[in-house]
Amino acid sequence: MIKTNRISKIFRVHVKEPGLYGSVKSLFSRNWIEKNAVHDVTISIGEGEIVGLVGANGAGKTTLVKMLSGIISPSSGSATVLGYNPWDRHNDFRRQIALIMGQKAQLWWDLPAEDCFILLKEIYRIPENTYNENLAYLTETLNVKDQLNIQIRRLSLGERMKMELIAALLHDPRVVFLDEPTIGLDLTAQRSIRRFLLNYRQKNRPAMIVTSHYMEDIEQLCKRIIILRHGSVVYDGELSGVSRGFADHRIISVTFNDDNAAAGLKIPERLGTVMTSSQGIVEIKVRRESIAEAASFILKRKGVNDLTIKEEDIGNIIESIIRES
Amino acid sequence: MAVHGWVTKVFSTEIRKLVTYRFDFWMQFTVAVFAHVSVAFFLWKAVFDYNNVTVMRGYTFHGLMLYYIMVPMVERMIFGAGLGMVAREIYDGSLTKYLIYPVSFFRYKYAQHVANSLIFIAQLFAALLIFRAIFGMPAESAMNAGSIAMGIAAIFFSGLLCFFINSSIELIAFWADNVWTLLVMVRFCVSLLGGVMIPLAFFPEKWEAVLKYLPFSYLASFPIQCIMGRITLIEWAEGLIITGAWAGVFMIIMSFMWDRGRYRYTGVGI
Repeated sequence: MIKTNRISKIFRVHVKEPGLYGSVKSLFSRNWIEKNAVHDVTISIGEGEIVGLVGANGAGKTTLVKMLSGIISPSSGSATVLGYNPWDRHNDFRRQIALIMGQKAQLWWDLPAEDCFILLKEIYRIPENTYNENLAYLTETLNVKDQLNIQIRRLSLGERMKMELIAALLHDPRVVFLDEPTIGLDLTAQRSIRRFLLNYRQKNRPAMIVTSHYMEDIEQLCKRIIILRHGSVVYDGELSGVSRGFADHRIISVTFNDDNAAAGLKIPERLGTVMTSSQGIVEIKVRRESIAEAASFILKRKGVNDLTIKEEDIGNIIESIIRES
Repeated sequence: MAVHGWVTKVFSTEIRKLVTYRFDFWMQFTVAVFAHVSVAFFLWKAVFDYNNVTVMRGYTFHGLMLYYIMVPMVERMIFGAGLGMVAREIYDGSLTKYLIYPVSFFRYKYAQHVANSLIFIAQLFAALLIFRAIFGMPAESAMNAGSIAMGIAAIFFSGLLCFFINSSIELIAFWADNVWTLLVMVRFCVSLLGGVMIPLAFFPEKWEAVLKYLPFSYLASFPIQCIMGRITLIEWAEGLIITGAWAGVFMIIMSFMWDRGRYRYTGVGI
């Protein structure tokens, strides 16, 4: 459904020296640098897949989404989405995709949401029945039926985001690009949007690409993730595989009879390091190859009630991957 | 469902957006008329008094005031309300949403432009009715239903020309972020050479002959002259042909700029 072949994007950016002198100088001569936003990315995404695109700011996530949705063209490489070259912007292609940008409102600020939806119905040539069914389903699921006749600018951020989602999904897109769909929302709104997206995906089975800085979005929505660093793919696979591939540590959690026993636990440096110790529970970060030795060492201590071994938090692992230089 | 379905909806949506702020709508009317006509009134009164004449270049003072009351209305109808909008959308990345929609960007924008123009017909007729009620129609005016129809047709052609000129300039924003100065320059040329500041009849005859073949007069003076009944049917047809020819030239320039420029778009801000 989505395929890229060594796609790259280089931006030419003007660099200005700071201060008044720099501003005046830039009137006469300008320095330009080339920024490799996306570099040789080859990915493939199938129907019904929901893929998380993860990376630090400037890693190339949004640039990749912009290329795949046809907004910008690549500097080199090729891509097909639904069999179309996206940046040809063929109307049949555009009728089958949706782009939701958490940071950029797409609806008409001065109009009530329903007026915007009616306009989109015409733009996307949505048959009357489909429009009515989709609108009813989307407004009920997102619980915004009562806000349909209120001007967009008068809605809360969460309500506005829900309206943006409805606007983007009214035409039953087969490919959905979600660029930071929960940015700036409170926890309740974030949860409600995540729940909605999961239900929507189950019902309609579009291919979805989600970019987000919130690990909860990625963990709850995506089985597969693509990690970008400095424009290149450093990981493409199952979310659960991140731990196996990148986590060289595991966490041993030990529960003691009392705080004194917990405080008295001294771990040799070669086995691991104590991360936290509170209310009789100690968490120790241990290298994978030392797990058995560390567990045996701990179990020989006095006052141990319970011991569990768990994977390191996936968010922390991903963060360490995307920050690695 | 044909193209006209969404074009009609864009059109009606734009009208709804404009009338959402009715205070602003009528204030624009009042301020534009007051500012424009009051300056013209005192200036031309002094000129007529100083020369001690009742008619200058075929205009009575009364007729000139009718001309000036129509200038801001007609200019607004031709230019629409979205001057600089496309350039701003390229600059701040709002163009993105139009690139996602499965419709022609320029048809969408033109539908908005026409909606913005048509809504000001109400203001034009209001201004004419008020003028007629208070001052009556000038002796030299041959305004009638036919001349108004000719004027409306001229405004339609001029609006199309203006849309293509402005779009061609605004698309420069793909290369240079800020094109506001260029748009102001065009506006200034129309004001000076298009008959906004002074009716073209007051220019030397040679100039007038040259200006007839440039696009500026068709963005202000020509439609007003049509409405006032100062244009013959032949002159009207000639004017429409010249307007259409310029519109064709700028449409080609606009299409060329769009084809080249859209590959430079970076969609900043998302």
